[in-house]
Amino acid sequence: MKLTEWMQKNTYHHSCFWDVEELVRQKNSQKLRIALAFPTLNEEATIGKEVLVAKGEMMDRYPLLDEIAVIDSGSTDRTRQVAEQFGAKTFLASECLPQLGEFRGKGENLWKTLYLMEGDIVLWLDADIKNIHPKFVSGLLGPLIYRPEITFVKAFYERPLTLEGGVRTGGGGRVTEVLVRPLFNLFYPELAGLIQPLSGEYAGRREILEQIPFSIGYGVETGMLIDIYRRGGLKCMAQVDLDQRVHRNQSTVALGRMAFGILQAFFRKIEQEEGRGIQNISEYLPILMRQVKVDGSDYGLNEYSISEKERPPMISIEEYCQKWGRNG
Amino acid sequence: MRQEAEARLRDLHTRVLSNLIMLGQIPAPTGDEKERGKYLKERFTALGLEDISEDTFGNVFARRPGAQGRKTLALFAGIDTVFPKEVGYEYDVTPTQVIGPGVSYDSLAASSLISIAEFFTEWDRPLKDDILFVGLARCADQADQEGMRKFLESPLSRRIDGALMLESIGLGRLSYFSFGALKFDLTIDLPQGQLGRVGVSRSSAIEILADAVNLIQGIELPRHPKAGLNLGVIEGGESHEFWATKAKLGAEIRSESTEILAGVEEEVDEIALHLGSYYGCKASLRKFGRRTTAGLRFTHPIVRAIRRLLHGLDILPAPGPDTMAGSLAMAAGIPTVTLGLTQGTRAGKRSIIEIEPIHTGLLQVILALHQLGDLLE
Repeated sequence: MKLTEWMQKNTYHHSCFWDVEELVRQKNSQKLRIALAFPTLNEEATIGKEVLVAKGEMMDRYPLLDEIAVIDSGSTDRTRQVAEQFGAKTFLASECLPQLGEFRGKGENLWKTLYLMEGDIVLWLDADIKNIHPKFVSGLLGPLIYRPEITFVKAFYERPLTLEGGVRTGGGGRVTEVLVRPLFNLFYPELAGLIQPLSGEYAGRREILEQIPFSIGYGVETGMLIDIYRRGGLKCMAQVDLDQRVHRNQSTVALGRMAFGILQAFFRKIEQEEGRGIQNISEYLPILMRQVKVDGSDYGLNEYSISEKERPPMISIEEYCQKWGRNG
Repeated sequence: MRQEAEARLRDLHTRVLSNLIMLGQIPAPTGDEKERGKYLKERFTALGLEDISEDTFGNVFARRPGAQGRKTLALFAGIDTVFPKEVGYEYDVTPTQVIGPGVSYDSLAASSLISIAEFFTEWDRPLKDDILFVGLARCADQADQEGMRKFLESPLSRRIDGALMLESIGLGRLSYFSFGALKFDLTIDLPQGQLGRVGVSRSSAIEILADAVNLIQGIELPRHPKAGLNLGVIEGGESHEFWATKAKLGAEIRSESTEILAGVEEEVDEIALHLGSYYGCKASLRKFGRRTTAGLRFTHPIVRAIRRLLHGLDILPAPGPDTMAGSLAMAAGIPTVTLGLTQGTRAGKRSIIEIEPIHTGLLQVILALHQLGDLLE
């Protein structure tokens, strides 16, 4: 399938899936179970509303979701209490599979979702969405429910950034446009058709998600896309326009650290591929990210240790296979 | 029955709040309520209500037939807010509160139309009477309650035997009477660059307005029947160095007596005419928010029943004069009681409602709807 053809056939608007009752009927006829998970770290300001809307609209009113959970990285605010109050199960990532060591990061929480929740389809939403709407759920699930060959669905949207004094339309996606899309064009040209490869909202079938490794930090989205692409090609992926997502803006230096993590994950992916001529490069990459700080005439460096470790495919974990009766 | 209703409401708790978020986050400045109206209609349709419609002013209607259909009870709520679209309607939800523009004025009341319809759709105790759910557009005071006024002119309003008007906050309020009232803006305009023609000295618009304030305060108000005058808004001028060419006073007159109200209104008219001719300025009056004295007696069976009901729910009833929309319905001959749904504040974009009392607020409405038809015999 050519990229332009894929974009035409596999790019949807959420309104294609407005009929939630029909989605529920289709889901039931396929005997699917669907899990929604929020990876969190100190998100008490927004998690309550997200859980509330997802549960109220997509679980209680229309039984599209079977479980809602927060997988938390050890928030020091009331994230877990708030989520629980509004009806989500809550898990502390560090208490899940502790015998396998402890890492901290969004990817770690996503990986552990597969162990903690039983859905045949797993949907992840970032926990900082201010304009949460049921379309985030129905839109991402629609292609998976209606098209059995689709195994992974990614969101895209307009991203007005909340700034002091108002809302700025457009913008956002800086890391995508200056880093990830150029890298995809160089190494995985077909993935360049993904409109927002770094969006934090996506859904996939368990049978593919359990087969892929998970980067534990910033690189999780990029790594996941590459691994799913390698296994099923572009034809098993779809993307959905969710119109608009209002969220916190991140500073450029914070995005710099994100880019550093993504690059580590990216190099790990390409060194795993034969024929690239790039081997063992990740062994030599430093994990120290230095960023300049200027305070008047005082110049210095902030140093961050960012090590983009990777969890193996969940299907290779004995505890997982035992818990869910899977064959590793 | 109360225990059953309470248990059912507990089951609906999450949906009650998600209804609020879903509806309340749709921008609905007065006069531009279309999207909210559309959402209400969609929800009413999904709930299987009948006769779902919208009039040309944006009021939205839906009927839930009762088992006997002897009476029609209306449930009113305003669907507009005083905030422009650009303000950003995203709510914050904490464990105890929902915070955001319009949440307490009056998005909770509007979303409760859906929640109550949902309650009755899923409850196995049918109501005897029909309920007409009415989402009122242009309900803000500045819009002069145009939505309610137009609804009351429609044939549909003549089928209503009794009504509850929902307000988001003020749980415990029991409003069943209204004073006559009239709001007005008195605006003084001087032609650009000119000052008031004077008998005694030159006068700016602000000075003329100060004279107006003195004259209005000089209007004699009787102690009985009760009457009052509130000078609530004043604005004018542009800078310290320049003479003001425009100034405005906003005020409200209230009285138990329609005649007293008319007398005060006439004096205000005369004051405006006097200022215009004395100062050679344009003194214009914009009158709005007119309502007549109306209401139920405190011994009316509905009032008694709801008072008892509130006591039974451990809510101290707080009788007080009605809001304008409720007053208009009463003046049109519809026995109407206004009830608040929870506690909260109106604080601009950061208005607040308390989550926990909403349960009791909705319970009072549900129990009241069960009793109302019989009391209207």
